[in-house]
Amino acid sequence: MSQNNDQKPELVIKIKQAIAHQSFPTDIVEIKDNIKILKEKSEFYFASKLLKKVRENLQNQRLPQPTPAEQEWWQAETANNEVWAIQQLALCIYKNEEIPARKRLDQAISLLEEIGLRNDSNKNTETLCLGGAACKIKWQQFGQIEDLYESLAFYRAAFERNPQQDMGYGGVNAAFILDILADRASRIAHRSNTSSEEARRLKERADTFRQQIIAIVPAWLEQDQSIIEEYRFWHLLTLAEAHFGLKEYQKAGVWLEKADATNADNWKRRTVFMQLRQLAYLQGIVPPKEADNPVNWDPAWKALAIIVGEKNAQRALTSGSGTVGLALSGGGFRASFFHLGVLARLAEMDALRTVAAISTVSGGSIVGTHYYLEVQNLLQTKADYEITREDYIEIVRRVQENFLAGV
Amino acid sequence: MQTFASLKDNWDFFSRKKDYSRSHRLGEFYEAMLYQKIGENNSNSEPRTMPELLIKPEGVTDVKSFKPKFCNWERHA
Repeated sequence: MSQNNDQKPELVIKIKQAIAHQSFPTDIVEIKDNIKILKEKSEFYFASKLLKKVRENLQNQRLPQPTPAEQEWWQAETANNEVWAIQQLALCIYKNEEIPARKRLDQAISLLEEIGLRNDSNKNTETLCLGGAACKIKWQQFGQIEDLYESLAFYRAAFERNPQQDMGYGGVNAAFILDILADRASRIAHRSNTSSEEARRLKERADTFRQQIIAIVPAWLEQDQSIIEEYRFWHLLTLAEAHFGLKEYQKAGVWLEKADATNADNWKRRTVFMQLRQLAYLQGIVPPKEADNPVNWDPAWKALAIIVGEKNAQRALTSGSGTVGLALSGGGFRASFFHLGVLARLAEMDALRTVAAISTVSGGSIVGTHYYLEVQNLLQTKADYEITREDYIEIVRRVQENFLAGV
Repeated sequence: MQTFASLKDNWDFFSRKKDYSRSHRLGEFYEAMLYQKIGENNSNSEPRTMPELLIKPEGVTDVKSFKPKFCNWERHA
């Protein structure tokens, strides 16, 4: 795995300070550069703040266009920068996990609706695919099937209305959603002991999309050398995912190697990893256990490790997709003693490593604070890959000993 | 028990009612008996500040841009 080594920390701080002091650049090239840098560092809040201002300025400057009656303002060439600002704003808002999921996703979709997300003459694949992504995340968060169908509609529209601009991105995502729907249909049929004609049809459609992409996109990619690096990553990934979906993992690996060489941002690699992992789960591939040697991994996991690195893949595959929270209730010292026992058992099961949030009260806070400070000390003094189950057992043992000595 | 065992501290509770309570004394005990013992660098008596509670993982060069919500997915610990 190669990563973007150009950290630019001072530049990021400078840009953030300027935004915080309401000092916004006016040159669109500089604005685009700043947004690129902020996105690289997952600074979605500051990127959104800048984009809101840019969008406001461009909106105020917008002149009544002598456009044909059937054309919307966002279809005029003069509106390109404003459309770009709204697309980027929608992206930065829905990627900002600091905002509650429903709020950020609804906001992003509303913004995209302003630039014709639901207009059947819209051929802007960026708008359509962003709409598809926001609806897909909405489905992942809230499980409403209409969000999944809506996502499929937007991705399909991008692939079918403007295939060369889409470069297969909408198509491969539509295939992914068709696979999810096929899996759902198949499970329902299995449960009700009926045949799954619908599942077969959906799966076939998904594979047809992927085969079409593999047949046409490489030639377009070869022809167009002017594609900027930011987009090249997604095009290469599209081909990797098309092969991955067809269970051609070695071929997927070849495209993943090429995508990896573009030094993509962390959030992009995360997005890709999550999607391919889910695709592998849909194909019934069991994730490796922590003790498994990566040499013996299923070819799907080996291919996936290319984009995030073997060690990162191991962690991400073995820890599951969710975040675990630990709640330690109150109840005086009785609660503290109880929590010490719970922590000891969780450490033995190696479950403490997946805990990403702790909420405590009263007696639970005494132990929770103690445990947090021990974990902080561990993470700050030992590299991730040297930390084992035994370290957590040792932490809880120390917490217990000091607690008993203290009381 | 130690919170209530010291004659001097009990005197303080009564004489400095407004700015020193049993909760303060308990907090001092937790700090002295539990939290100060953690790690090698925290043995001084200086209180911890909130920014110091943020985890700065070993091996991360650009600590300021480390965000658990965006970076934890590929961490092993």
